Amino acid sequence: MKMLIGKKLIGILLVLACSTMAQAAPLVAARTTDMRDAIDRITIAAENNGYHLVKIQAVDSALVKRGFENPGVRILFIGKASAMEQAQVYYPPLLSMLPLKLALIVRDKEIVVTSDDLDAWKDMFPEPQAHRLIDAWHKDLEQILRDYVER
Amino acid sequence: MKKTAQYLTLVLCVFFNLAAALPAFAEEEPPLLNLTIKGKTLDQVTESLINAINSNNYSFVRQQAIDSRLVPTDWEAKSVRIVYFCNFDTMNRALALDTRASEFLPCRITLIETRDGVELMAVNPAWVSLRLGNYRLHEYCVKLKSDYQAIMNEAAL
Repeated sequence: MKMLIGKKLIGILLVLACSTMAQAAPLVAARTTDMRDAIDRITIAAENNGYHLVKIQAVDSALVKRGFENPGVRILFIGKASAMEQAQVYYPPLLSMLPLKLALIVRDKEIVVTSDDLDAWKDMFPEPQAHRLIDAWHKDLEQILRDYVER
Repeated sequence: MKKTAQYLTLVLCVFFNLAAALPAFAEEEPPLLNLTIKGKTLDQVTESLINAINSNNYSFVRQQAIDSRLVPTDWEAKSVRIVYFCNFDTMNRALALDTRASEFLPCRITLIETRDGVELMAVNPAWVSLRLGNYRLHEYCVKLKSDYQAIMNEAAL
């Protein structure tokens, strides 16, 4: 009997754990390449999906220049004018999340690209008009990262 | 054998409860840090914000219109601006702990001019770090959050 209760308890705990681990996560894509090529590929992928590169934040070289270790991280900001306009008209607090950000991280011979966690933004902004915009950006980012990997 | 099973169950309980509690903790941190500064223009607030950034031991990185490089310069939004800043030492330590810290780096505050004044908005780094579930990173983010608040409050003076 005790054994049965113990097994049930563990089962319940596992379900709880799985539901916790299944929470939203940022979009991630990786390919074998170097940083320069990865930036080119992301820029082209963004352009093909109506976005433009706004800024490359060379965190790695900024830190190295100041005597710190190279974290192997660069941050790219991408955006499109219509996204800004829509946010301004329909849900101005979303402007605090724009332009969209992608982190490029060196992992051995790969460059891993991660987006911000847009699903978490839905918790931040629970209103339906915010969700519509976030969902659209999420789809765009998915396609950009898919292009990064496949093309 | 029976004791081992009990011990294992207890350990699993603690682990899963901690994991399950993360989102609950996250709810205790507001996702956004906001402050409205009344009676000042966007240019005035930008200037006082940059001064506050420098006096709080951060480096001003750049300021730009929200749609900078997306539209011709003459068409850029006049009422929404972003100010970027960072502290290189903090950035180095945060990235060394967890590269996902890039989610809140570099620091940025969005300024929106309204009829009432200028609203400052920033994503709360402590909200982000709780969601990431890295408690060591969270320590930095709590400090970062209080720095954001100090900078915003100083800009409002």
